[in-house]
Amino acid sequence: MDNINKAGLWNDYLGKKLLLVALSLVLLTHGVIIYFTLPKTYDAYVHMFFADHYNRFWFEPWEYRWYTGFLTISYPPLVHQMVALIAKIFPLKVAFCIYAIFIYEILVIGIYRFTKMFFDKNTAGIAAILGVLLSSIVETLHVYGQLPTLNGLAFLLNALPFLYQYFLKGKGIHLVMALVFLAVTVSSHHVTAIFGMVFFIAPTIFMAFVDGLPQDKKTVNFFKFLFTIVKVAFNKYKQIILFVLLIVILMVGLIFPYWYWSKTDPITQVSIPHGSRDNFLKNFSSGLIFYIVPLTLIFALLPAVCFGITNKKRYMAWSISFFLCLLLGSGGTTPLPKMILGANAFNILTLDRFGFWASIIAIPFMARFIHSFIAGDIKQFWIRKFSTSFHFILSAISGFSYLLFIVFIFHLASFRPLQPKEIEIEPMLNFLNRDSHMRWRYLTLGFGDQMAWLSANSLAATVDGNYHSARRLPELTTRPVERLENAKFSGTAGLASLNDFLTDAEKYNLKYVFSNDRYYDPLLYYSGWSRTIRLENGIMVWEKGNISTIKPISARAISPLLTRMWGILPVGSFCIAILLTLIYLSRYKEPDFFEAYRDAEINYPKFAIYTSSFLPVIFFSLFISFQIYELLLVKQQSNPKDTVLNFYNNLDFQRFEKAYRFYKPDPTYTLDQYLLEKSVNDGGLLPSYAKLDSIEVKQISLKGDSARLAVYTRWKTSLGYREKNELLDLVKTGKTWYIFPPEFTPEIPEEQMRSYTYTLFKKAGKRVISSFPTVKDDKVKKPFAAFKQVNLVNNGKINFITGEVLNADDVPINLAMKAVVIYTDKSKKEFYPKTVFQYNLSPKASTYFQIDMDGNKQKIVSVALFLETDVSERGYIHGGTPGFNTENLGGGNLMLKTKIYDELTTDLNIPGVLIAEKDKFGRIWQTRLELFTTAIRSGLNREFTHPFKTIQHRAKMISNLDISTYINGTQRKIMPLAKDDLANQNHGISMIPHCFLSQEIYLQ
Amino acid sequence: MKRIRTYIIVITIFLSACKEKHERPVWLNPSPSLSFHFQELKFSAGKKKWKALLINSLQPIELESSYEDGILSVKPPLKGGTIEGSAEICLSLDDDNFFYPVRLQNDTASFKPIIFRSPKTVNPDSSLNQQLILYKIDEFRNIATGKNNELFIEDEVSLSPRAGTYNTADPLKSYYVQPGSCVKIPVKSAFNSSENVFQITAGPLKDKNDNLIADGTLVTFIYDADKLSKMETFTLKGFATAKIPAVRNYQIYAQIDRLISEKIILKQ
Repeated sequence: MDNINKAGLWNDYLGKKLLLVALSLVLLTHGVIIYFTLPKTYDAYVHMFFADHYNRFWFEPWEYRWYTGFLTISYPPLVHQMVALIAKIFPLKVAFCIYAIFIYEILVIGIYRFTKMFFDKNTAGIAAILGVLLSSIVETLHVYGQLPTLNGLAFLLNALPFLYQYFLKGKGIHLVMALVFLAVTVSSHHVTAIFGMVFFIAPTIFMAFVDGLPQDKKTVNFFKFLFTIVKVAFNKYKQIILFVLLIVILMVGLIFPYWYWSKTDPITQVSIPHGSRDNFLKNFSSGLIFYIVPLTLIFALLPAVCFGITNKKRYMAWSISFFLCLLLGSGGTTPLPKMILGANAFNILTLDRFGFWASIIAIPFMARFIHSFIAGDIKQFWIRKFSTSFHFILSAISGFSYLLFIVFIFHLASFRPLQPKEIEIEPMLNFLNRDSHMRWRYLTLGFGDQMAWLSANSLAATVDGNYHSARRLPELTTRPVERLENAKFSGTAGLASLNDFLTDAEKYNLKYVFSNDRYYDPLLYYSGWSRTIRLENGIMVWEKGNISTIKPISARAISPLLTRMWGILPVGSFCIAILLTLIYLSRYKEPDFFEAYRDAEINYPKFAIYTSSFLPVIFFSLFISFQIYELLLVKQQSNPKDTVLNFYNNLDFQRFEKAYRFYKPDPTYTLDQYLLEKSVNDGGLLPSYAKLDSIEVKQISLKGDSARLAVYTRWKTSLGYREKNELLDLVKTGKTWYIFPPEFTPEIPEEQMRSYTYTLFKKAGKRVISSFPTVKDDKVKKPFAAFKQVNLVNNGKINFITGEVLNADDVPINLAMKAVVIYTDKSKKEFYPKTVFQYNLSPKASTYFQIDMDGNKQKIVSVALFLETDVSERGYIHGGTPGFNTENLGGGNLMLKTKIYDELTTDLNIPGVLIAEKDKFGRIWQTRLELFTTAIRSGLNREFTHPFKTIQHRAKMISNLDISTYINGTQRKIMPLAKDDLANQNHGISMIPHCFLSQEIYLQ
Repeated sequence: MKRIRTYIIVITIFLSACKEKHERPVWLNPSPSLSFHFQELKFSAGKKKWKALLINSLQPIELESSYEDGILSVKPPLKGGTIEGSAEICLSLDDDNFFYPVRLQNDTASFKPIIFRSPKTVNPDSSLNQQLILYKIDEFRNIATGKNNELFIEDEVSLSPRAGTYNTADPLKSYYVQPGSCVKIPVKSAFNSSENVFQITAGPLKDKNDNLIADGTLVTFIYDADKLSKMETFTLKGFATAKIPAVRNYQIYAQIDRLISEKIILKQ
C-alpha cells in the first residue's frame, strides 16, 4: 500500500508537479539573482526610466528629460506602466525585479501550455523546467534586461493554445481568451506581436487545421495534403476573417498612439551598427553573444530537434518558422537574411530576436527528447546498449555541464563586462539639485546604461538618451551613433557627434558634463570645458560658461483622447486578461483537451540518438574547458608575434602587472622599477587618453632565440587618431618569448625643490541665501573683452574666420564665440571655433582663433561674430614656455622646431601650442592647434618637430565684406591692427602655449 | 418598488446638484480706509460660516473670524504690516465670493534709503562715472514719496580713481573700482646661484592712477635662447616673477598686451 502511495505521489499529475517545480525554480534562481544582474544589463535601466516617467506623469506622453524632449508613445507602455504601478509601493529597482519575476512565471506557464499543444503533460513539465534554464531566455533577462520582449512572449505563448482550440472547435470563448492574451502582447512589445503573427500564430492555425482533418486525409501525399489544408482554410474563412479582423483592430486600437507617432514622425536616422547583424564567422565575439550562447542547447540537440520538428505533417509550419528564425538569427553571416528582410528592415532590426524565437519554438522538441532520454525509449536504448550506470553517468555529465554553462550565462555580464562599474548616483543627484543646476542640461560620459538610471532618479534633463528610435536631433540621427556617452565606441562618427554637442553647447543649454572616463578629457578641455569639482563617487564635473538656461519647449501636442487611451487601454488589457483567465479556469476549462491530438513517443533514429545524446556533453564540456583554458592555460608567449599582441592587449586595458610579465625576467628590472619608469615616461595623450584601435606587427628578424619586431599601433583619442612606430627586441627562454625592456634614459630636473606662484581666484557666487535664481546685487558684471583683429579668409573651397581676442578686464574670463553667416539664399548658419581657441583667458591675455565654415555653394552675404564673456575662477593657465624656430623648406612649407619648458609645479600632460600664421601687417591667415603626444614633467624641456604649411601665397583675404562684431550683445569695433615683429622674424609664425594639465586642483 | 427606488435616486441626485444662492453680507461698520491693525469689521452674515480674506496687491491674507448672534466679526493677524494701497475684503462661502473695496495703510513704518549704483564695477580704462538711483522703502516694501511726490532720485557721480572695494552698510551694495591697464613695465633681474636660475621681476606694475594692476594679469617674458621663447607669468600685488634656467646669457623683455618693457641682458 505504501509503495502504491509513493508511486502515486510522484506519478499523479506529474506534468503539473513539474510545472510547480519550474515555477519554484524561477523564484529560487532568477528571483535571487536578478537584483544583482540588473545593473549590468543592456536595457533594464532604460525600461526603468520609462517606468519612472509613467510613475511621475501617467497621462503625459511628453518626456522632456532626453533628447530635448520626445514622446513616450514611441514604445508600447504596458511593462513600463506595470512597473510604475508597483513602484508606487516599492523602490523602482525592486518594482522592476518583482514584475520581471512575475512575467517569468507567466512565461514558464506559457511554455508549459505551448508544449501541451504538441506533447503530453510530462513533456510539457520538462519544457517548463527547460524554460527556467534555457540560455536564450536567461540571456534575454540577465544580460539584455529585455523585459518587454519576455512580457510579449509570455502572453503570446499563453494565447496560442486558446487560438488552437478556437480553430479546432470554433468556440467563441477560446477566441476571446486568445485575443485578450494577444492584446497584452501587443501592449507590451509590438515587434513580438507583429513577428509572432508570422512565426507563432500562423503555425498554430496550420496545426489546428491539420489536427481537425480525419486520419485518412492526413496520410495522403504531400501535395494532396497541402490542397486539403487550403480547402480547410477556405471552409473556415469566417473564423479566419473574424480573427484577423479582431486582431487588427486590437493591434491598431490598443497602441494607436504608437502607430500615429510612427506615421506622423517616421524614423529617418542612419542605421546604428549592431553585433547581431555581423558576419559571425568574421566577428566571432558577436556570434558568441548573439547566436552561439543563446542557442547552444538547440545546436547540441539539433539532430533530435530537426528530426522531431520535421517528423509529422502537423509540425510543417513550425519547422518552416524554426528554420527561418534560425537563418534570420544568423545575422550577416550569409546574405540570405538581408535578402529575406530587405535592406531597410535588416538595418533597423536587431536580429538576435529571431534566434531567440527559434529557441522558443524548439523547446517542445528539446523537451520531448530530454523526456525520452531521461525516462523513455532513449533511456532504454542506452541501458540495452551499455548499462544503467552508463546512462546515469551520461545524464549526470550532460546535466552538470549544462548547469555550469547556465551559471556562466547568469554571470556573463560580469565575465565580459558590457557596462562600466556601478556608479553611485547620489552625489550627482545632489549636484543637480543644488544651486539651480537643473536649469541647464547635462551630459554623462562613460556611464553606459547607468545614464538612464541617473535620469530615472532626477528631473534634470540631458541632451543624450538611450532610446534611439525616439531621437530627432540631427546631430544624432545623421550619424551611426548609439549614444553620446559612449561615443568612443562609435569611432570617428561618434566623436564627431559628441564634438558637435560640446562645441555647440549653447544650442542645447548644455552646461554640465559628468565624466566617468578620462578618455574624453582632452576633447572636453580643448572644446572649452573647465573642470569644476570631483564628486565623492569619483565623477568629474565639467562646466561650460556663458550657457543660457533651458528655454521652455512646447511639447508636441497629442490629442487628450489619445493620451487617455495610452494610459488606460494597455493596463486595462492586462487586467481583463487576468480577470478572464480566472473566469475561464472556473467555468470553461476542459481537462485533458489536448490528449486527443498529442503525439505519442517519437521514434528517433539512431543518428539522432547518438548525436543528441553526446553533443550536449561535448558542447558544454568543451565550452567550460575553453573558458578554463582561456583563463588559466592559454599560452600568450608561445611566439614573438603573439607575445607582442598580448603585451599590447594588456597595456590597452591597463593591466600593467600582466604586461610586466612579458618583459624578460631580470632581478634589476622589478615590477616596481617598471611602474616607476612608466609613470615617468607615460602620461601624455598616448596612452593615457587613448584606446588602441589597431596594431600591426612585422617580424624584422628571427635568429635562434632572439627576434626583432616592428610594431605599428594606431590609437584612437578623443581628438582624433594618432599613430606610433616602435621596434621591440624579444628573446626566447625555455618555451616562452619575452620582450626586452625599453632602454630608459632618465631626464632629471636640476632642482630638488621647485616653486611657482599661482594666483587663484574665488568667485563669491550667490551671497544672498535665496532660492530665487537671480538677485540683482549678486550679479557679477560681464567682463570686458575686445577683438584685436578679425579676418575672413578663403583658401580654395574653404572659408574661415581668423582673429585674435583680448581679455581687457581685471578678472579671468570664460569666452564663448560663434559666427553667424548669412548666404545669398537667405539661409543662416552658425559656426564655432571648436578646438582652435583658448576658451579661458587671464587678465590682459589674448588668444588666436579660427572658425571653419563648412562648404556652402551659396555666396556669403554677411558675417557676424558674437563673443560672450563670463567671470571664471580657473582655467587661465595654459602651461609651459614654448620656444620655437622655423626653417623654410620652400613652397610654403615650414618646419617648426618647438621646445616646451615646463616651469610649473605640475606635469604638462598634453603639451600643445596654438600657432598663428601672420603676414607683415600682423594679420592672421590661419590658426592651428598642435598637440604633442608625450607629457612633460615639471622642470623639464621637450622638443618637437612638426611641419607647417603656410597659406598666404595661395589663399585670399576677403576684405570687401564687413564682419560685424558683438561682445555680450553689444556691437563693438575691432581694435587697430598692430604689426608683430617677432612673427615677421620667424616666417610669420607666432605661437602661444595651449597645454592640458591633468591635475585639476587648480586653474584648469 | 423598483420604480420608487429609481425616483428616490433621481430626486436625490437632482437635489444634490442644486445649490443655494447666498445673500451678500452687509458691512455694518464700513470704512474706506483701513490700517493693518484695524478694529474688528462686522458683517451681518446669518448663521453661515463665511471665510474672510484680505487681498492686497501682493497676496491674500486670511483674516480671523468669529460669530456672535449672526454677526460675522473679522480682524487681521495681530503682527505685521502690508503693502499699502487698494485692497479688498473678500467673504467666501461655497462658490460665492463677495468683495468690499478698501484702502490699506500701515500704522507705523520705518523707511530706510536704498541706493542702486550702475555700474557697480568701474574700470578707469573706460569711465569713472556712476549712475545712482536713490529711494526710500519700508520693511513692507512700500516706497516713500519725496517732496514733489517723486518715487526716486536719479544722480550721476564721478568716483575716485583709487582702486578698491568701497564698502557701504549693506555688503550687497558695495561697489568696486578696478585698476586700469598697466602704463609702464619696469624689469629687473638677478642671478640666483643656489638654484642656477635668473630671477626676473616685472614691477611694480601700475596703471595711470598709480594703482597696482590687477592680480593674475598676464605678463609674458620674451627671450631669445636658441629659440624664441615666451614664458607666461601672472602678477600678484603688482609684481610678476619668472625663473629662467641660467644655461646661457639672454636678452629679455616683458610684455603686457601691447605694452613692452625695455630689453635687459641676463648675465651670470
